[in-house]
Amino acid sequence: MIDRIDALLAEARQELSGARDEQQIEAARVKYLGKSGSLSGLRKSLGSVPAAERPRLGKLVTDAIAQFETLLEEARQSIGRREMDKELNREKLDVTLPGRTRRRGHRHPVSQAMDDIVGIFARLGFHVADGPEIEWDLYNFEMLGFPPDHPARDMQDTFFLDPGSQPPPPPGSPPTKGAMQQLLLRTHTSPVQVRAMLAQKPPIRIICPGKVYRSDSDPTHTPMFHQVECLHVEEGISMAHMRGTLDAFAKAFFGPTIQTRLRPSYFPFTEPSAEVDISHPLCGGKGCKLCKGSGWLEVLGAGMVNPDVLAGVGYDPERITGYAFGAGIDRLAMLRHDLDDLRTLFENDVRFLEQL
Amino acid sequence: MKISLKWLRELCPVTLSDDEIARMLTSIGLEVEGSEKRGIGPGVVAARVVTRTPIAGSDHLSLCQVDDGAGTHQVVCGAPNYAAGDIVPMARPGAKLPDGTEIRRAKVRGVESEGMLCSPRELGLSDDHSGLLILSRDVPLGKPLDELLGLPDTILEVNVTPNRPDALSHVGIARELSAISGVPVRIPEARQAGKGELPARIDVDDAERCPRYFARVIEGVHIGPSPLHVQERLRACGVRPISNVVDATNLALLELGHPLHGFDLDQLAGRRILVRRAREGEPMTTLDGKERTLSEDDLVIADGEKPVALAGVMGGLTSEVGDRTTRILLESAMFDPAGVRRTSRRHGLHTEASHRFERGMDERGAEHAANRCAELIVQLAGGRLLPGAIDVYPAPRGPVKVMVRPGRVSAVLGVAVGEAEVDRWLRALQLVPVGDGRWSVPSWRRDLTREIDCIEEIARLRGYDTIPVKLHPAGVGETAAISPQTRVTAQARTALSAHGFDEAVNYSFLAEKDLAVVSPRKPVRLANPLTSEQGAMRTTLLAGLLRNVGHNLAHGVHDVKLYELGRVYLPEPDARHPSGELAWPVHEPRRLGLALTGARRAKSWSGGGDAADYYDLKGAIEDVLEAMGITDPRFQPGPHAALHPASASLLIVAGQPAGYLGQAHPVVTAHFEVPAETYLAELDWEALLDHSVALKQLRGVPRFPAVARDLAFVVDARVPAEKLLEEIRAADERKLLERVTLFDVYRGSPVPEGRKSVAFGLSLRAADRTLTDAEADALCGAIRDRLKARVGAEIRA
Repeated sequence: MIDRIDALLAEARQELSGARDEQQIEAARVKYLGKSGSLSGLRKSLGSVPAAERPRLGKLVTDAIAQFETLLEEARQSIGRREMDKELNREKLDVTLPGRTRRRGHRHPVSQAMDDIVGIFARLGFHVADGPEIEWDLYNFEMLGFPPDHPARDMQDTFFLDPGSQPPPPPGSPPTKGAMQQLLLRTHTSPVQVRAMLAQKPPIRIICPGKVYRSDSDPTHTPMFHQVECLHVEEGISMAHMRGTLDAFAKAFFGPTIQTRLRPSYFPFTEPSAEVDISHPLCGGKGCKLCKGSGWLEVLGAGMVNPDVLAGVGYDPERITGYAFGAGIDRLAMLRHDLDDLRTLFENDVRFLEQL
Repeated sequence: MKISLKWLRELCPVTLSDDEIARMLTSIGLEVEGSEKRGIGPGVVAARVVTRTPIAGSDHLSLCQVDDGAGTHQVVCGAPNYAAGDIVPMARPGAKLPDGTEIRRAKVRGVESEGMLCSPRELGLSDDHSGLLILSRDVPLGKPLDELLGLPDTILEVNVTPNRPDALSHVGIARELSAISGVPVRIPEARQAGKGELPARIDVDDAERCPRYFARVIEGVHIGPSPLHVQERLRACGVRPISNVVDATNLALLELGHPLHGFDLDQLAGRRILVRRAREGEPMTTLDGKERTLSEDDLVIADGEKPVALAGVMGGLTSEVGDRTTRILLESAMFDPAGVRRTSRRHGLHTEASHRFERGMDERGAEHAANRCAELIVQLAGGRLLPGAIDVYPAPRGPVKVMVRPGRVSAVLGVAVGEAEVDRWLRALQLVPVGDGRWSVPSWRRDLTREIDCIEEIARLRGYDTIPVKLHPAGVGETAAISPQTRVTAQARTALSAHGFDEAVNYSFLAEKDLAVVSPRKPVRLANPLTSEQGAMRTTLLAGLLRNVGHNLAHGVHDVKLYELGRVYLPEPDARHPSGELAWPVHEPRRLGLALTGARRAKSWSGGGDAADYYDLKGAIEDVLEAMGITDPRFQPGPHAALHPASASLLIVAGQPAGYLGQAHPVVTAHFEVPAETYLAELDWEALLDHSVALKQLRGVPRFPAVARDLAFVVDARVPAEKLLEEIRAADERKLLERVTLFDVYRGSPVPEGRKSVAFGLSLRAADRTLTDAEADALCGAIRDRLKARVGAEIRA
């Protein structure tokens, strides 16, 4: 009887797997489980086996019927799926038609670079400080070591404001205390150094990104551009810390293989002063046409805050030291986008912006 | 500053290559910005014209027999200015001239020519091409021109920073090269003036503006051109040769850095010099031929009658050294830097002299400069240097002494620098120890007055690359928190990008006429703009954005969505910043400007191409506000000069105006040449930030289901949608209305003329239970009743 069960099940599996439609499945069901079906017949024949064998064989038969019903169900599902597949495959989309897009807007390369810089310096412990773009001569020049009639002023061609269109100075502001009333467009972000140091005591760790102005216009100079100022003033700060910050910034902005190099230079408000070069990100420092074969590009000016500037804001330069640097953001942005004409940045041509 | 390497090597005989010298100078802060090779090449030699025969049939060509010492050659030449017997430069076949021309044997008019006779321009010496360069009769035949001119040479362009006037000369650069290379510098000697009475009188009226005036006299000079090698040296350094005496003063200037001036002593009235302030309005003609009107602040060198030089800036025409000059009064003075700078700027005269005086000259060095220059004059122009000098120097400057502590050097540089090293570098710069850690500074280093100045010297000589790289602990632990402003701004920018707005950055200054069209405010103006198109500080972002729209249109881009986040500049008090010394001079609030024109969505196979309108702009603004966490913004009609009255509207945040938006006014679109369907907005970014929420509070989602109902009303067409929304909300006493969506507005049949149908989708929900139909029906009933009563709404089925 056991052999008979196995044989019937094998036969049923064979038959169901070949079933093409619902009728064939129904026919199989009748054949095996109908009134005179072969599996039904086995159940009936249990009456003729010895009583001792009956429970064991009875269970075998019940299991066999259950198995057959599972096979039946599987066969039904498989036919359903086949019919569904046929239905689904009737029509196809042209998947090569362009997708339905919504044109996204694009950030300006300068403001993007500015955000990156603020983020990098935040990780180095610097807060963002702010200052006016229309500034007094006192903060833009005098307190930074550019006295009137000093040739260092030639380093920064300055836009002055028409005195007739200036508002009266606010109460208690420098002009009301006798400082020069002349307003100008700040030529660098460095006046924020003075304002920050007048406003608070050390330690000071700030950066100030913003617009600056010089009366100069050619492919590498626009009369307005962007700088970021960095100032770190507290006890025990040395030029080695300046190098540390510069190096960390350059690597974070341009990539871990970028090298920095300092060359002696002159700014009235720092001493020692340095021009800072980075290894050219494009040629990897090997030298190419863009970096005039040197492998290095000048990207910013830096230095230890001049003791006269510290004394000017009431700090004790014997105890407090610090460093400061200022970088042209537009130039940094141009470098990483490989752009050569600075003036393109401020035309706001959509065909330029949407490349970003 | 142009530096001749040949000259530099005479003053500091290093064995380094040209490139090594350039690298070394750059590494100590004398940035070499470029270099130029000068030389003619070995193929051009001195040769004598033996015969000159005109070529038949030509009006200017001659056939010459020319002797170059090695033999006679026949050369065809078209120059007019020579005769048989003259010695001239001849380029032999195979020679390559500085402009790249290669000389070959050639036939000119059927006549064989075995070389070329050359003009100064052809040799790259000057622009003179009027004839051949005529050489002195004693030049040996066959001598290469390079040898005569002191070539070849390499000229470096060195950028000397304003704090280093001492480096504006060959000796100055040689001192620096000596300090870094250890090779001693050789400064040309000059004899002291000695004792003697001079035939001139000198008085200084203003010793503050002229601390020293030193003069010598040379008699019997013969004015004429300088030798070729002197002319070449001047030219290589960017100075035009003039005559032997003037060339000698320029040569001394380039060598020592000190400006010198030679007067024709016999043209000085009363043979006297008076250094005084000019009288207001006093006239004077400077060497450049320009008539100038002087001010009381100008310092002049006057003779017995009138000004003969603008002190430290430029000489005058009347006492100029000319062909008939025989007696020279040589001036070597020191003038106050700020005074020279004011005069130089007032008269728009930037000269080699003013450039140096305004940076500060070495008043002790003035004497040596005069003595050296006087000897050069005698060398070049003959004559006799009279013994003795006039030296008006009432208050000689003593040497400056500076304390330098090795500990301080180490602390500032962040690397240990010992006493021996301090000693080594300061001595290299010719500072002299005077005990107790103090050093005496040489007179030419006016920039070294404090310890920090000397620390910088030590740092640059030992090399900035020897300073270690240390990260301050602040860069390791104390990162700054992301400020709420930063976060909100980023969220707003994301929303703007999602709406397809590109970010613009415009100049802060533009044409005042552009501003006037979009804003009635008076701007702050620039006193010295580059162009009138950049003459006024913007009081609104709209003018710049409208220009951008115009620019894009002109370049064939018709769909433009731009935003700009930036400052405007208002000549009014600024309440956002503290008063007193930290006040801001003018008010510089930030604004968010938007400009929109063209298609809402690009045309494609699936649609798009419809023109964007007011509601596209408003929707973008609503999303920006939502992103910033600003709840319940309101929009209401409100006029604005830049906007079309039909859609001009105000944004109200927390009950206060916070910006405006609408279609551009026809006058504005005409002025900026942009389409009529241009939409503009300008929002008060400071106000938006004040009401923004950087980190929003979050709640879980509702647990009970909502009930949806649609309601449609017919109302008078003039009733604003916001009024209907207000009334619907007012009817909801039990606060069951979760969301109201206005999903349809319809005018036209069957809705009567003058009325409109407005349909709302309501979502009702209670937080604590499932709403029953009866509750929803009751609320809908209340809404109907209220709208009927308040705005005469009829209910549509």
